Amino acid sequence: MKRKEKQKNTYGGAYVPEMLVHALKEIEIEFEKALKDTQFQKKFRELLHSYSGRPTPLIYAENLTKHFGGGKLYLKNEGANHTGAHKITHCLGQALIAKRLGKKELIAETGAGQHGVATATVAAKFGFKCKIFMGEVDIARQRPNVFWMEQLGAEVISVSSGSKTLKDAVNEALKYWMAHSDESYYVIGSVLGPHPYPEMNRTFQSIIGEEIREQTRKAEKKLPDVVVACVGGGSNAIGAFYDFVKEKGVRLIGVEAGGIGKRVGENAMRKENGSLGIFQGYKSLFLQTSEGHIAPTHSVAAGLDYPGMGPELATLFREKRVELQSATDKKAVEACLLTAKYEGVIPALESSHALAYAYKILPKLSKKEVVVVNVSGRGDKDLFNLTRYLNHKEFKKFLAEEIQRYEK
Amino acid sequence: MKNNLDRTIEKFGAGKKTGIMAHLVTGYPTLALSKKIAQSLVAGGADIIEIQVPFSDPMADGPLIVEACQKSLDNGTKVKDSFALAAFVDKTLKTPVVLMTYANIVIHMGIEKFCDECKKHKISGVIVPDLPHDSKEGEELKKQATRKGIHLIYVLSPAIEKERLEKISRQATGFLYCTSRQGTTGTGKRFASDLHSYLKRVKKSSHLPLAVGFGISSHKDIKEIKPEGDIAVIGSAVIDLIQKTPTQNILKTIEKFVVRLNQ
Ligand SMILES: Cc1ncc(COP(=O)(O)O)c(C=O)c1O
Repeated sequence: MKRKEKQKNTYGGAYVPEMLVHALKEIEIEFEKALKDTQFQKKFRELLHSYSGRPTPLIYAENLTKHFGGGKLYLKNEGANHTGAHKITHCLGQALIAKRLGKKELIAETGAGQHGVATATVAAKFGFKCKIFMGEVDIARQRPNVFWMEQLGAEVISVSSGSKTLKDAVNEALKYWMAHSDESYYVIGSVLGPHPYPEMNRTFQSIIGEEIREQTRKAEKKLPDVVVACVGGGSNAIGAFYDFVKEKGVRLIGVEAGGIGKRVGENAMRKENGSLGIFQGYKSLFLQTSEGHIAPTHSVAAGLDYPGMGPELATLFREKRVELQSATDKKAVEACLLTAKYEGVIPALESSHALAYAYKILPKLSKKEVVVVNVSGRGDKDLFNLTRYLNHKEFKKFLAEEIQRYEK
Repeated sequence: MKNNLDRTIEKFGAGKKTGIMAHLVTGYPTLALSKKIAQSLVAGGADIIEIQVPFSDPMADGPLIVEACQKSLDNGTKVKDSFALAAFVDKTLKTPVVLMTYANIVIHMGIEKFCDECKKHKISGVIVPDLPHDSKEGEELKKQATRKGIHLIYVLSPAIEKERLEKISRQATGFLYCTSRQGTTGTGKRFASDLHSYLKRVKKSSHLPLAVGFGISSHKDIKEIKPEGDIAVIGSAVIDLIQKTPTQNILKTIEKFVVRLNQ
């Protein structure tokens, strides 16, 4: 990353207590060295290919294209990655950096558990000890992922401060790291946190956009007209967008969690309700109260339920290069089910937000226009969430029966 | 231009008593008690009062202070309550106040307005642990604070490198706040194994008094930091006392605790 570019961004930076300055410097230096090291690049690409299963497919969604009768729809299936989402990509990259730094332990925060599972997976693969910080509320909501993290050898630490969700898990992970940065490496799960994390994770994730370019060119002999991705922290979005930032003809749309309403606490719409803030080590747009406290959020998709946004994405939004839109819980769930029924792809509820917005604009586009939606992950993990949301009677009955079978 | 903190600090230094900076969270356990707790701290012999403006996500703090901040916010404590408390401590208790909070509270209010409020409420120094000296906002806060006669107190930690230490020392005023270890505030944990060599390093880089904080809760701890430390910071220990003591005894217990620290 060039220094000049860094200074130009007014979002970003490294706003951390002094205890972390040294640890961040160490990572910054190692990451810059790694970028220039062809062996590192080769090793990373090789892992993406042979471990994660890249390139992930770009699926022509023929049925949905017909259904909406407008633009041509493609699904970039990041759910085909090992562990089921794009998150594994920056985990692999960061694990390689941690190895180069001689660290013994990986720590991470997780909301829904996807990033926790991905971190526990790379820890198992590379032989690190592993600690995952997770809010008490999220542990209760996402028990299956906790189970898998533990089977992968990680210790899951329950966080009971604040709202007991993702932002609090980040706080606790940062605090643990402050005291243990000699041997621990903090695998941050999105393009946020203090410098160099946002740039580093974006660099690793930008493979998504590179593949989209290549695959769309092959299929359509041109660039996509629109790329849509959901925005939690922003890693899958900036990953999908980055290769197209300079291509002014490509519309880039990030979709936030519209939740259940417009009021603060009912969504995670930083576009509408966010304001400039400094939090968890970086400057960006944050959902805040009138006094400058971090506000509560809501989304049916745990991965979008976060009060901040990656600084680079916030910058691109301010520069009007990236559009921000939103989709409600309801629309996202509808889009999830529609995609499953028409295309045989079960998207994560996070990704379903991007799909929901795409379905809104597709009918208005011409048949020549190509829309690529980044399906950041697959929906298996949402089994419990989704059935609860749908109040699925049969599933509820199954759960009750399962408990009885369990007790026997 | 000397402020109340400078005049107090003149009492410390070579061979003199180690000063005590006692910390409290505004609104914990209640706003009314905060005032009285400050009174008890001063009656016991605290030289400086550090007032924490509660923030929803206090990144450099351990569980006790996190919980205190949360309780205080649940009670409805506002930022202006900390300013009012500061003015009370300075004026009525004749004790200098250092205001501590996090970057988002400051920039949400606006750096200039924040400094205006500090000046208006007789605050002698401010500590913002997550606002680095070399960030744009850190530089702006330094400028505005200096202009208004307020010290911006920098926090240093054992892992600090030479060049950075020297840079911070050059622009620091008031005193330097050295954390006793890597990690967060809280009682019961040990000081860094290289505490003294680190404090000596800091001492060499600056003629300012050194405050040492994190994990100090007894007279013995104060003796341990004494060779280099000019000011002992007592934080979580007070909150721990508040948690453990029946409400009607809190004030007396706190006063006695500070008296014992000083003996
Ligand atoms: C499948 C999936 N998509 C998207 C996200 C949102 O994160 P980001 O915006 O950083 O890609 C998550 C986060 O947990 C996720 O699991």
